[in-house]
Amino acid sequence: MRGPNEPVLEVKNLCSYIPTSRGVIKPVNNISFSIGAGEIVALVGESGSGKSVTALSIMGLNSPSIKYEKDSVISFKGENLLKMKKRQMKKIRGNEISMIFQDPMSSLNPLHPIGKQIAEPIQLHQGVSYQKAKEIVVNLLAKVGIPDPENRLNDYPHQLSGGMRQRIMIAMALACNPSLLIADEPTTALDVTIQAQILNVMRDLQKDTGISILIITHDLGVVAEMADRVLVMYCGEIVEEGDVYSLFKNPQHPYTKGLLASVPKLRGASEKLLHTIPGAVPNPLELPKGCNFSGRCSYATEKCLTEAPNLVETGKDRRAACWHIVDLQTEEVTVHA
Amino acid sequence: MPEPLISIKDVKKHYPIGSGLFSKKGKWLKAVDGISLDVHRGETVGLVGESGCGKSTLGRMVVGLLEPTSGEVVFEGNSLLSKGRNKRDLGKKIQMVFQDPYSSLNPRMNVANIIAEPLVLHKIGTSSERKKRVDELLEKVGLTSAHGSRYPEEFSGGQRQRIGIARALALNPSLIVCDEPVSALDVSIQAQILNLLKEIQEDMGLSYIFIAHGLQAVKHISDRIVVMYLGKVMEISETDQLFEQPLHPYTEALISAVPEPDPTVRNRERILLSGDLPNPANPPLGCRFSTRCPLADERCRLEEPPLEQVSEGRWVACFYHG
Repeated sequence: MRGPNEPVLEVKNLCSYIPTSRGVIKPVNNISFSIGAGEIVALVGESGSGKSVTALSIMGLNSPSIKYEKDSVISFKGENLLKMKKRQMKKIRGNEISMIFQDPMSSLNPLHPIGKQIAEPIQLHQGVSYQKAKEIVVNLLAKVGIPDPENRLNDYPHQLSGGMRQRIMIAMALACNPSLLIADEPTTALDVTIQAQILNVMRDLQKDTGISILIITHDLGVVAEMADRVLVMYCGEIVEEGDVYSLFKNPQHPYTKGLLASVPKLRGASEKLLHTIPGAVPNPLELPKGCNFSGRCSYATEKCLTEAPNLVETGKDRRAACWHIVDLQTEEVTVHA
Repeated sequence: MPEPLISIKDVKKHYPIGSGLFSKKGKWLKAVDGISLDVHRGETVGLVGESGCGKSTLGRMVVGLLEPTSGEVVFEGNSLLSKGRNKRDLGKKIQMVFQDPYSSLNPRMNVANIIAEPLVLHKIGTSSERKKRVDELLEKVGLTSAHGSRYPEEFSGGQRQRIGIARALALNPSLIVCDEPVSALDVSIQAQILNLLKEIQEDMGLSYIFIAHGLQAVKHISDRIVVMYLGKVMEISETDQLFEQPLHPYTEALISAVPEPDPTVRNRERILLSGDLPNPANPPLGCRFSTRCPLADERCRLEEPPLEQVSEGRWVACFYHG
């Protein structure tokens, strides 16, 4: 891990809200984190935890119904992306920060051959001719492991498999040598043997280019394989942060512990019953008064129900938001059937 | 060996493919190409494989949503393919839980009516008896009778899947085909549903055919596992054995490809399959896995290995199995 000494991206007090007729929803509620140069950071959480809204805020692609609090800052190379004009943002998006999505089929234009689509950002941002761009594209396709790239340029997206399409998306995202790649559930729609290939491609590219990656996923296996540092989100807040080895070895927040314990093990004999986190994620309009996780937490006490814990430093490179971290460290995970 | 609850005998499902109405060139997509399998009472059999392997097609043929092109499904000694009254009665005993709890529940019906529908269709009980049964079922899947008057949109994914399970249980089936019942759910909810399925099985002694692409869930719930690839069975084994010592190279690669939630093993030796799944409409000659198999040689590319028994309860289709 290269550490967050020189952050490429810094998010400070990011707070977004959607006013609705039934009240205000906060998809992301006051989160701060940074991504260092060459670092792979994983953002994990269940649906509705705010991980995709966070990613789209960085890209400036959130729906206009999502508003930001005044003191929210997303600082990229010293500039606040949230305060940027649309025109300035266009120069950054796809050029310095790019993104790949879960479903490559719906992110590619079905009417244009893939060569043309990958060449487009190169022509747009680097002002080169189509011929020159084409050379770059062939190189990129070879880099992401597409066999016989020259002859693939005129293929249309429907002629390619899901894994190939995701490779195309990665090639497109890397076309302008960005310094940050955001990957939103990049392998969720793929078969497991293809997922392994794509993760490998991403890891190799990271090593070759030194790009920073923010990977968003719900799959703890993918996190363990890819990340240097992990951010765990719950109900729009970061509840735990740490480097990947110490976080998986010693999860501090009861939610992280619960998540890790509820994955069925692939090695050894099967458990009779899985550990479960009782209940479900609360309705964003009816969040509990204290800690958002208190309703599902076996450690919750009176204090948890009334007062929300802050994300505080709990060790080297570790942060967690829980009133009970001290007691948690001294005891093993209690498994409730 | 007691008589199996259900016996699938050399079942095939072939679809004609042609570019237009009149241009059937005699090409067939062999979605399921000759599969035989027995499921015993109280047993859970997992079907795993990547997309296009035919696992869902097989599941749908078992519940009678699809008619096999050839072969036979025998349930409690009776063929499911016979028409008429008999089929309707047998159908009661086999139910299904679907993958997507958002599209498999009618949004215009309240939960009580959704769960009671199978009872109504089969004309079972009076309306007050049905109501009692619905309350029982709701409680069994961890909901309360107050939930009955609500509509599907008011429920989360996990709760909807509970409703789907309650509906499948309404007719007291002996077999439930679960088609990817947890793949659309969040991790913490997956565990709840897997536990629920296990508890129900212990309680009612029913059998499951559990279809999934995720090995972790299948391993957790299954007694035996069938590994499929492009419409064929590659390996059948008792669960723990399969994971301890996979015999087919495809099984080995599948297990090895699963990302493990443990960063300390991230640099482990891994079998990375090259290439994509072949098009099921045009499978490779010889062994179907030969185009991606690290062990394949000339023989594999020309000759199809038969599914052979290698030890008690273990079947493999490979010339060079582990």
